[in-house]
Amino acid sequence: MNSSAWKLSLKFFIAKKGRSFFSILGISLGILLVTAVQIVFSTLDYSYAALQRQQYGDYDVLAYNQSVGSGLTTQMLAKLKNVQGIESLQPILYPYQGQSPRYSTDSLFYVGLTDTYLSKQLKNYEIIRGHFPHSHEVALSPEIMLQHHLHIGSAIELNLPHKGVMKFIITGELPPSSQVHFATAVFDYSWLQKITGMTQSTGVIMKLNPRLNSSEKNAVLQTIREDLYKMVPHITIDTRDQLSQQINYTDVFLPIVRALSITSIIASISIVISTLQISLQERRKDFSTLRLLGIKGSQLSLLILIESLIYGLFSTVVGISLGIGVSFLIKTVSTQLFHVSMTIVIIQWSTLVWIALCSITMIILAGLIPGLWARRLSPIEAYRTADPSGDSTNGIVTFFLAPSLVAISVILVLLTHILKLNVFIYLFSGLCFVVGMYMWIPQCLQSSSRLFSWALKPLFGSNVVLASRNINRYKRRSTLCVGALMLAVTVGMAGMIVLNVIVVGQTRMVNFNYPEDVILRAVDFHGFSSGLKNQVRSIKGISTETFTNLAGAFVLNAPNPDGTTPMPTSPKGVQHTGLGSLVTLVGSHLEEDKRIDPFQIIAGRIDSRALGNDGVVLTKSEADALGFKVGDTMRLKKGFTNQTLTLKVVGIIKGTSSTFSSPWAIVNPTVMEHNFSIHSLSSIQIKITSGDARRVIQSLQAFLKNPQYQDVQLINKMKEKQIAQQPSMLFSIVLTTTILTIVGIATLGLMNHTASSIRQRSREFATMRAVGTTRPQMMRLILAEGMMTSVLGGILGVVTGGGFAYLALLSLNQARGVSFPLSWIYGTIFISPILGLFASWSTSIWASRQDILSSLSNY
Amino acid sequence: MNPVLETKLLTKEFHTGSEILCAVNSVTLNVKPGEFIAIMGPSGSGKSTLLHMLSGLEKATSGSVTICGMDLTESNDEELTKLRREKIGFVFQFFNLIPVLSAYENVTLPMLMAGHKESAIRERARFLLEQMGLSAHLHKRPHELSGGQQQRVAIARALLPTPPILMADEPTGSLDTKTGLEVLRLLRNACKAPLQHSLVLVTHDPKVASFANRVLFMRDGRIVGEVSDMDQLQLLDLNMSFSAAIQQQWEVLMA
Ligand SMILES: Nc1ncnc2c1ncn2[C@@H]1O[C@H](COP(=O)(O)OP(=O)(O)OP(=O)(O)O)[C@@H](O)[C@H]1O
Ligand SMILES: [Mg+2]
Repeated sequence: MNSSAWKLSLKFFIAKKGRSFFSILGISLGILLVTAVQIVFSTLDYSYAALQRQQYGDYDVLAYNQSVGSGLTTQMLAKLKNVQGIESLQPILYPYQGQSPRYSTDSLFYVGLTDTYLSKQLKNYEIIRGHFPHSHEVALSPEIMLQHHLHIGSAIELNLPHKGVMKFIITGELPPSSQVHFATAVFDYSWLQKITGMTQSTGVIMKLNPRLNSSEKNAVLQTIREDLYKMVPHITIDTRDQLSQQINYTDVFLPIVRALSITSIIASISIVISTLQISLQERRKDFSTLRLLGIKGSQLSLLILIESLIYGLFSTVVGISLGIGVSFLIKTVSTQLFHVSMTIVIIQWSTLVWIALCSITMIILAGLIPGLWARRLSPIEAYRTADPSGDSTNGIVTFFLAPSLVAISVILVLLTHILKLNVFIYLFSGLCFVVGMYMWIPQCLQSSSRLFSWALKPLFGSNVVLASRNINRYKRRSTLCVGALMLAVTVGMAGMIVLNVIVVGQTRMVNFNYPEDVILRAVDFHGFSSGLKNQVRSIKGISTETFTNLAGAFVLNAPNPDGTTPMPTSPKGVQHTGLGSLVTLVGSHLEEDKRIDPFQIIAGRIDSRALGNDGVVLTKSEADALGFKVGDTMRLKKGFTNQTLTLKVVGIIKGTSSTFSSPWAIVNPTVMEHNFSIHSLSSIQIKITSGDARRVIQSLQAFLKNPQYQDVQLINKMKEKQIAQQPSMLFSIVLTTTILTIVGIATLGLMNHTASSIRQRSREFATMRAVGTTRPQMMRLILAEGMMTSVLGGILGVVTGGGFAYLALLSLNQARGVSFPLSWIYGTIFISPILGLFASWSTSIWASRQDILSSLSNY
Repeated sequence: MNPVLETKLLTKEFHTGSEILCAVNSVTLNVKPGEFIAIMGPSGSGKSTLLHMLSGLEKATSGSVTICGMDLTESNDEELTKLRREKIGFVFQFFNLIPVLSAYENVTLPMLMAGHKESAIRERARFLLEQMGLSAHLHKRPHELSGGQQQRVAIARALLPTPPILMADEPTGSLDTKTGLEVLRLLRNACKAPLQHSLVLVTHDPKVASFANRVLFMRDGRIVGEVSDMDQLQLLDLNMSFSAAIQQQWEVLMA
């Protein structure tokens, strides 16, 4: 019996090739989506981590201790090396902070490193030009070299402890320092150890086995921490938590996209159920005849389950293979178009097996519903000759359960809001809302199709009335179809809203860290001529912002004279001396409209009139430290001279970028000129707005060739910025792909639905044609039906999706930034009828071309 | 000889809203092996309902049906399914063939689904199709066959399990007169020795009914008359042929 059931199922399956194909395509798309999302995210995780390590160094632990007399001995290092899970380990020597006798203003930081892969991972000390220093050789920060017109190959005198001044040959250049006046000198580790007589190392860098999973890794790190603290009690240990936090950022996106793709699977499953159900209804008579001929209900169920198994197998294979293909495509596209680097595609086969098993199971479960329906099929149906009268839906669900669920969710939201309950209740009520709306579809279907038929009657004539009757006649089926569309739009809506919030947040963060693309920075206190500013401004497609050289002044009347500095070691910070509090004055045109690093005005107002020649704007940290308020007068002593200066506090600002987060007093550049004779600039920040980045950099480099500007350093932040932007960029790509796929699934479902339901009624349509309905009339009828279904799905989806996304964000405490994607809402309302027209177009043509006689006969 | 099928005071009421409709009212009849019974009556007289109850498709409101000694009114769905499979063959007005299967497959499918080996039934299926004059059409799909051919496939399907009783509701209703008569001849042959199938057939057509051994006339759910070809003497008395007697009764009924 089994083999004949298989054969029969296969025959049924093949007999309706066209629709089987579309059903499989529909489900495949769903599976494709899940597969691709899984693969893309594994790949992303991997590449992002790799990228970060490439950018910030491929090591796991950096430990150092600079206090005299307590370092790591050779035995200690050997012991550490034996800890399970450490792949490699290299010592570092920070002998002391020395001073170059000839250039006493500069602090030089000495580091002894080994010439190994691991040591090169300390990106601040990586030799970017030249070669690694050996005995009597040194590698230096570019600031020092620029400042003193030194090159690779030049000689320099440096002061070494216990040795005095020694002469060194410069062999390499280090990357630009984060702050101008902290330069570094790198020496060979063993040579430096020998020459300084230090036997212990003051730091160690380690890399763990990359195959460790995160819990194993944490265990190893714990061991290392314990061992190190035992060896050197006050050692500083950096386990790069910040970096792994950044890597984990991807984990925020994955659950969202995964939830979206699972919803889309549910949408495609509901399309499968609908398709199976329609195809069963078409064969109602066949099945009831089989029942009459003595075939058991359970055998029929089995028949249908086998059919759905065939669907499942086919679409799983197709879906997963396409998913793998699409992942490679996404990789190529995002690498080519968005310069997102994904090195290799990571495919976790075990996950794919899981996806396959789950989707086959789900599809078989989907077949269970129509399977059980077939079981109940009465054999007496075989005698019925009337066309199907349609189906009905459960009144209790639509009239009672659905509205109550929606009501419950509204009440819950209000209660949570008023009583300040746990925010997760929002998420729960959001789910309630979606389920309630889904269950409510039949009711909405009925009322809205009446509304449509009334509203569209002038346009389509009586066709619309008939179409709306037909929608209601097959209510359960139309419900499934509308539901699938609704889910698709819901997913899209929710996705768009969440995307908006996340991308906005990400962009804000990136802009904070990288307000500018390029910085031109003076390498010493002398600064550079403001002529460069005018040259730079001649480049098109950029916006610039200049800062004059800084000047120090002592506040004589600070309301809070003992104000502690927020950053005591910062050279820009406020220093508490007997002379009063030191403030750093800088000149910049704050009143200009388009600032690269927009700031928030906390108090006062900032325009050219207010600033004038005696206005000063304080950053919030500075105002807090000194205790000044807007309107106060600030009396200053200019450096160590006896001249005084009076300034009026006109505004307090808070930086949205790193620039204005430091303690600064900002004045008009003319104030700097008049009072401190400062005409030179310390930096120009450049943001490329529309220009070609490479061309801009080339022009800048050309300007800097001028000997006048040889002390100006060009720092390109674009690469770093790009890396920082990658997660949200990739998220956008993946989400957009997801949404497009879901729309594709919904369209396929709608096509399938229309095709099946028209074919089922082909006799009915033939009769209509026979009694004189014209072909265009027939087409209009079918198009109207498709359109009504899709419009209803679209509208319900917008409402449900909007509501759900809002509640979901409320539960994540993110709702404040929510902007409803109006374009998406309009788009949905505009596109959904077109989608309906598109999906029913081919069917309507098919139906209108049908030969009347052959449709009237039985087969 | 024991009757293959027996009913006692069989009644079926339909409740539509507040009204009660008695579609079949206290019908008592029996069918002997090899007997061919035709049921005639105006539209809505309850013929189909009676036939459905005889084959266990519809539950009787009261009374009983017994087929081959098995009481249908006291059987569950599983037993009824088994009964339909083994004891009853069905022939429909609209043939009810499975469109995706060939003629041969349509004939064999129910037996295969019942767990029989194809090798065991192949010979007999071919033989039956041959008898029905379909040897050239074994592998054609229903839509490639004429209505008469389709009905003959359906008869072969009904005969394959050698059921004691065949039920046919207007089997010639969709066929022209000539084709219809041909199909009837085949059905009547099935009732003769050695096959000895019994046949209950519902029809509007007196010509079709004249193939039967016995014709029952129904009206408003009751059996209101009966003509049998056994009553030759009586018919001779009235100076009438069997078919003329049926025709006469039919006209009385329709008046
Ligand atoms: N499922 C049902 N529910 C309610 N009433 C029914 C049902 N089936 C049949 N009837 C009624 O029972 C009566 C007998 O119907 P039935 O189908 O047996 O008539 P029939 O003699 O076969 O007529 P025809 O010659 O037109 O086929 C009719 O009045 C019909 O309306
Ligand atoms: Mg009837």
